[in-house]
Amino acid sequence: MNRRELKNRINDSFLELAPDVYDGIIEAPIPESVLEDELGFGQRMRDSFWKKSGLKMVPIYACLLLVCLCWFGLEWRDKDNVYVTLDINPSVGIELDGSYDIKSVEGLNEDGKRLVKRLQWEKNQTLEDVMERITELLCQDHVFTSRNMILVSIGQSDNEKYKSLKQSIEDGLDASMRRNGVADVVLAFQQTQSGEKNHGRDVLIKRLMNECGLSQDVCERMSVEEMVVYFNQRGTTQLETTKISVETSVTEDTDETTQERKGEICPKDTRDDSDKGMVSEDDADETTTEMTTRENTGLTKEESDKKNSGNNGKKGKSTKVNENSTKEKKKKTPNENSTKEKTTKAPNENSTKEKTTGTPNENSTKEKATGNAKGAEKTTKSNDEK
Amino acid sequence: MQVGFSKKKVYIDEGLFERILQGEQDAFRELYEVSYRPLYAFLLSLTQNSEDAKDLLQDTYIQIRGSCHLYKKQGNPMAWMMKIGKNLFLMKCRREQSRQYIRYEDVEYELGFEDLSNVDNRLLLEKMFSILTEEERTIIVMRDVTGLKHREIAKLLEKPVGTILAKYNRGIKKLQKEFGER
Repeated sequence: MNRRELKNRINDSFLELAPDVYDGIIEAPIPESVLEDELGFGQRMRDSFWKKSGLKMVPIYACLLLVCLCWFGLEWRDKDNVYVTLDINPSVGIELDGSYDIKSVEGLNEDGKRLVKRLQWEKNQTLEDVMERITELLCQDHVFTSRNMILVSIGQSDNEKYKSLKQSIEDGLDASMRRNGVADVVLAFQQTQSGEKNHGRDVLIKRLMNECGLSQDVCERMSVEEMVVYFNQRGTTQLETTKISVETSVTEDTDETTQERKGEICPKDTRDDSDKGMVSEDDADETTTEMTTRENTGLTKEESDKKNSGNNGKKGKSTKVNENSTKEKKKKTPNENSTKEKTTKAPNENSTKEKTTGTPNENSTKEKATGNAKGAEKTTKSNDEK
Repeated sequence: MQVGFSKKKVYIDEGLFERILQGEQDAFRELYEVSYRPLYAFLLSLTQNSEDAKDLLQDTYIQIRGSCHLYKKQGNPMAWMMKIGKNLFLMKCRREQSRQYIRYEDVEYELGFEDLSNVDNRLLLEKMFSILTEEERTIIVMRDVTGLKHREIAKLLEKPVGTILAKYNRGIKKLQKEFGER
């Protein structure tokens, strides 16, 4: 059947069906003057169509509104929350509610995750409780034998609240460190944006990249201590550092037994002499120079070693603290930096540090500082030799 | 009853509306005789129910009687009348909020095809209502039964001309394929 035939057939088929309703039309009363709109020629039809569609959309709008309200509600709630990260390696993130009670704790790196698994934290515990538990675990793991700086990043834009929380954390960590027999830990505080879960280490890396011009690759290979020291020396701003759990009662720790005991937490002190060795300002300058040299030439190790040997025997007192006790009780492993000049406030503290911030790879070989037995971080080499 | 129909496009004199407005019943009768079959075909393709189409047909002409003063010369009064019929159908749908879908087995009964004497015609209509979509069927009726142009159909249905052309051709091909295989 071709098209024309088909069309004709369709036409005939339909037309045959049509009933005659003329009589019914004539009998019906003629309607009063009809308006155009009544015939549906105006917008009326479209309006009613949209109204109909609108009614159907009401449940959808209601759901969307509910979702938005929930989201905004969560937003408001989240803004009261504070996110605190502790970076030592391990790195741990702690979310606090408006009352500074624990909402969540999470590990931010592999070591951190392993730590959190053992933490057995509970919601609504106090921050102090959790920090106490974290410190216990860190001591069990002998973390502070090789590191003694904690980067504490507090996600609170309000300065008053930031200071208040900072003080709480400082006091809490101080108390827990003392209870666990850890001494001379340095806290470096960093303020980050509130309402966001910022990992302190990542924030510091960005700041190092922006303010100090380091590459991300180099930053990621640096330890927390190296980053803090480098940043405080080279950045436009400085991180506030505080030494906690300072042992003022013990003046000299020359006793090996004592050192060994402390070594349970902080390993054997490799220093032969009293523990008062600290890097003097001259040493700090040299260290800075070494760092600069390192960055520039890459011959750091040898140069730094030479310099360090020249520095042997130098001691300095910390302007901040009168102690000494074991300064760095930590034994430096080859991979660690001996640099302990952490606190920028007291550059005289610490021993040798060659912090090769510029070339973290070289750290393993550095064991420079040995000369300063006292405060120096004893390089493992020296330790080994001993 | 076999009725032979002109295969030419339906032609309606626009002057009839002025005469109807003046009260001439013959003019209205003339208008009715020329247009009621294609108008019924169009309404049947919309309602898919012979009784509903019959009611709408009557309502449409009643409205036309009362609204001849609204007609504006536009070349083809058929499109204007079909628009009235379509709007009445939509208003009825909204009122009833229901539109029964005709099952194939009920097609003959609901649509009144059993009254058709010509078996081939009956078969054709049954196929049109079963294998074509509503749009394809309506467009074919408007094009081949009422004689509207594609442009006029597009305006009436508020769709692009290209869409109307495509759907029309698609519908015809479906029917050709169906009847070409027999």
